[in-house]
Amino acid sequence: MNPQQIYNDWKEQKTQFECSKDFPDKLMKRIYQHEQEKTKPLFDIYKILDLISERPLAKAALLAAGAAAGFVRLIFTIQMILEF
Amino acid sequence: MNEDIKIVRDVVSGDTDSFNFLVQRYQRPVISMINNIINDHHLCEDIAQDVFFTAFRKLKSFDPARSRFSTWLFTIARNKSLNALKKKRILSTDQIPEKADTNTPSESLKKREFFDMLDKALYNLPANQRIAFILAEFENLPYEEIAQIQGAKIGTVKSRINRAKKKLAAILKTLDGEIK
Repeated sequence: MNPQQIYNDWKEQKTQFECSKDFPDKLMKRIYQHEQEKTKPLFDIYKILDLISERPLAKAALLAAGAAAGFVRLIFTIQMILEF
Repeated sequence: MNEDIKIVRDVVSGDTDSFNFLVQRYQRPVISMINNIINDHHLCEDIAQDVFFTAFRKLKSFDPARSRFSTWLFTIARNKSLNALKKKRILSTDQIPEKADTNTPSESLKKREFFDMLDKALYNLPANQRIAFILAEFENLPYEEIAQIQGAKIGTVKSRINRAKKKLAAILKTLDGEIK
């Protein structure tokens, strides 16, 4: 065992690195996910409807907002008729 | 390599699957390089994942006229490794075993201890010297490519490698004394 031999063996050992077998699969999965997210529209109406339907409070708020809008519209219509 | 450029063009034009060829080709040298820089087996694959993911996202900005794909990829790996070093302060000498006990009877144990001494010397080198040395000695990259990766002049790279070699040669000299 001489120093040069030790150095060469050390060098060889440093270059022998076993990568985990699932490394490429993990990476490609991440890339495909990224690609999918890129193609998704920013404003997804179905996702918003899903979110609302899962939350009773959101459903009630939406209903109240709809009723309020309808009421305001009714007032405006009545006002327009009276002005004629 | 021309083949790399062809694959890059395919990926950029929408063939995501082709990127797997580049991953298969460069995963070992990239992970090995990161591991040698940061000295952390667990973290190096995570950083390598980030390296390839960043490469994929920025593939459009890769210019084959300016550098080879491998040089570009190693540059990303170098930058990510340096960031990881800064963040985690992995380069702690506490993790590296102390000087060899020459009274160990088994030759393989002794050899392991010599390796540890060389490791300790390597991880105590300044980051730029260590990276230049790793790229030259372990990855066998030419000086021109290392200069591109490090964003330095060839002369600077040569002197970094020489200084690193001198420090490791000093360790080998002490080993010589211990062997005798």
